[in-house]
Amino acid sequence: MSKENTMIRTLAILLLAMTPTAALAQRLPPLRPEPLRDPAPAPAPEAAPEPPTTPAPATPAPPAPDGTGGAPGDLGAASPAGERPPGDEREPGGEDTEPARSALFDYPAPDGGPSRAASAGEPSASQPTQPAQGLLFAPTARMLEAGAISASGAIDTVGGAQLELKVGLGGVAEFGIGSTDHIRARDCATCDARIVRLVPMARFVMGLPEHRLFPHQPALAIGFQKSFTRKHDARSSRYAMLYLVASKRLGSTNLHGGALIWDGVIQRDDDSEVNLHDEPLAKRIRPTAGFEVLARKRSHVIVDLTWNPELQIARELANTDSLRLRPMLSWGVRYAAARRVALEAGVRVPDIGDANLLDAQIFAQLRVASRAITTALEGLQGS
Amino acid sequence: MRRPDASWEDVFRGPFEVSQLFAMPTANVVGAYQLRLYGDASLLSERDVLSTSSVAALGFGDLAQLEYRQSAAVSHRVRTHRELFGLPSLGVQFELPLRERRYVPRFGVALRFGLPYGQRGESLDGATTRPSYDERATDLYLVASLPLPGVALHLGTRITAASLESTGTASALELERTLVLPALGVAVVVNPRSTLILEASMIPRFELPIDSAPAAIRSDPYARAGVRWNALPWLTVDASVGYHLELQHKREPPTSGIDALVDWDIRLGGELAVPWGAVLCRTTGVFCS
Repeated sequence: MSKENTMIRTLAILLLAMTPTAALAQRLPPLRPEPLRDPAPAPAPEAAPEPPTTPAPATPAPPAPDGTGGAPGDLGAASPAGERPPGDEREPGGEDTEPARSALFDYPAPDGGPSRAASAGEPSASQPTQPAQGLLFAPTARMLEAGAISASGAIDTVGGAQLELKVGLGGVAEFGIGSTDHIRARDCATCDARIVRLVPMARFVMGLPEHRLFPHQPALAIGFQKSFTRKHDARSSRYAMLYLVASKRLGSTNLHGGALIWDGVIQRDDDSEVNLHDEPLAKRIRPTAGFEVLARKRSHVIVDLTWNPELQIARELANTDSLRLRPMLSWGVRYAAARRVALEAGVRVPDIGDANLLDAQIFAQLRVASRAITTALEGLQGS
Repeated sequence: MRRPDASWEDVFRGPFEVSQLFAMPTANVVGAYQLRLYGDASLLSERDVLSTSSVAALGFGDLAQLEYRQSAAVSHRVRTHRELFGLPSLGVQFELPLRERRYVPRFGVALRFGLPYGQRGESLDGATTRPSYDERATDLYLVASLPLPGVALHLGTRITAASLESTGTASALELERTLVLPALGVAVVVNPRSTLILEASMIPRFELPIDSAPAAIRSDPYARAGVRWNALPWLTVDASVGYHLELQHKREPPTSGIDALVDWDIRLGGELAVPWGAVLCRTTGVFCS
């Protein structure tokens, strides 16, 4: 089977995993509404003085009359009542009046029981929230709340810096822009690798929260990250990563695991190119994993593993550059300093295959979240 | 909500019809007395090129919309650049006034007159090194949309008269070709405010003459998958991942397959519904129902 067919099949499987079918939509409660959004009542078409654009269907309205988004109220009105996730013990009818919070503001209780945020719908000082659940550097399936913004900045002991600003879209997607310092370059086979600073990138992730399709289903996300063209070492480089991850909360522990596929293009000034996608898929697909454990009331211990490309530069024009993936291991602590502020610090080893602790970096990271857009949207809807 | 005593909240509550997926028009049309403005952009589709597209649609009588649309197309104008761009057109789309029945699709038909999209030439010391070209596509578009519980299917065909002609040079180039470009879209509701959209379509590709390679008009598949978030009844935000696959690798640089992730792009867009009839009624008392 060709490499291209393998990719197409992989993508098809990923998308099928993400896409509830029409049959599922009818049989299961997978499309049950997330209770955090749209507290505003659905506009009743018959209440409008204008005749509706389309006649009301004779049977109970499907969730998406036109499938193009339509009026949010229409979609919300179609949500089947009485369908609840496992363990949801809220009173019937309460989901629209007391919006719960998504993973952004939800936080497992120190004793591993249900979070107060999940049960009360609001974070509190005794149950601190954090700007984003997730690992230190590896991707997870946790999504930001609709309209929520998360910003993070990290520095390390080798002068690297990483920035990211992301926004939650509908509770099922995120869009982010930022820069990364995880791409490294090596001037010769025996030389030490150095970071390529501030590679600008954008990221788009789609995902489903836990228990959406079936009980105990882990959160799932498919993400795509791509860098803008970065000029360095008399070369232009671009990188892209596609990943599928699953996240599952077990008591006070969050487990994350998945796979990622990297691609990269290095173009010299003489227009010669080296492409990572020319390599077999087996050389570009790698596992990623990690966990968070709530060790103290406000503190998580986090360990994660991910992979990043490393460019080996050929100094002689007659030789070609090469791109290889290197495993990066990170461990550290996240401390929820305030409701929407978290501090992280730890150690990362950019290439654990190198087994060189002198290469390890100590980093510090600040994460800040804001619900300003969410609040503004709720205000505009008159909720 | 065209009442002079309506509150602004009522005016902007909708409902508003959305008449397209990311790039694929559906059988729906914009409602009467409403205007929809859509735009999206990507900085990642090609190197150092901002790729944009936009649509402005004005609804009439719940059965038709006048529209200015930039439809996706690809231009291969210099050796190292393939530019994904919006080919402009002015048109009208009708929704067939058939009685609505369950499991029976709606149908739409559109006619769009192509406007020239100019590719600027280059000159050196007064001598033209690369002439300017106009790219244009006029479409007859047929589409069927089938709403089902939780999902909607859209199937369309674009019959395109595409042309490529040089401007302002002695050695005139005129190339025309009729293309049949199918399109397929699926929209799945994932929560009350969010829809997952998958769409795939064929789009025209204009190959300008480069070195010894002659000009040509071809078609390529273009696919996008992403999310539409109804942030407000009158405001939607779109984000998607797209990929343009060049079918015929006739030119330099050689193109890669779908596994070349660096050739995928991320697009971010938004759509604004303007209930201009209700706004004018509220502010001036005209166009009230």
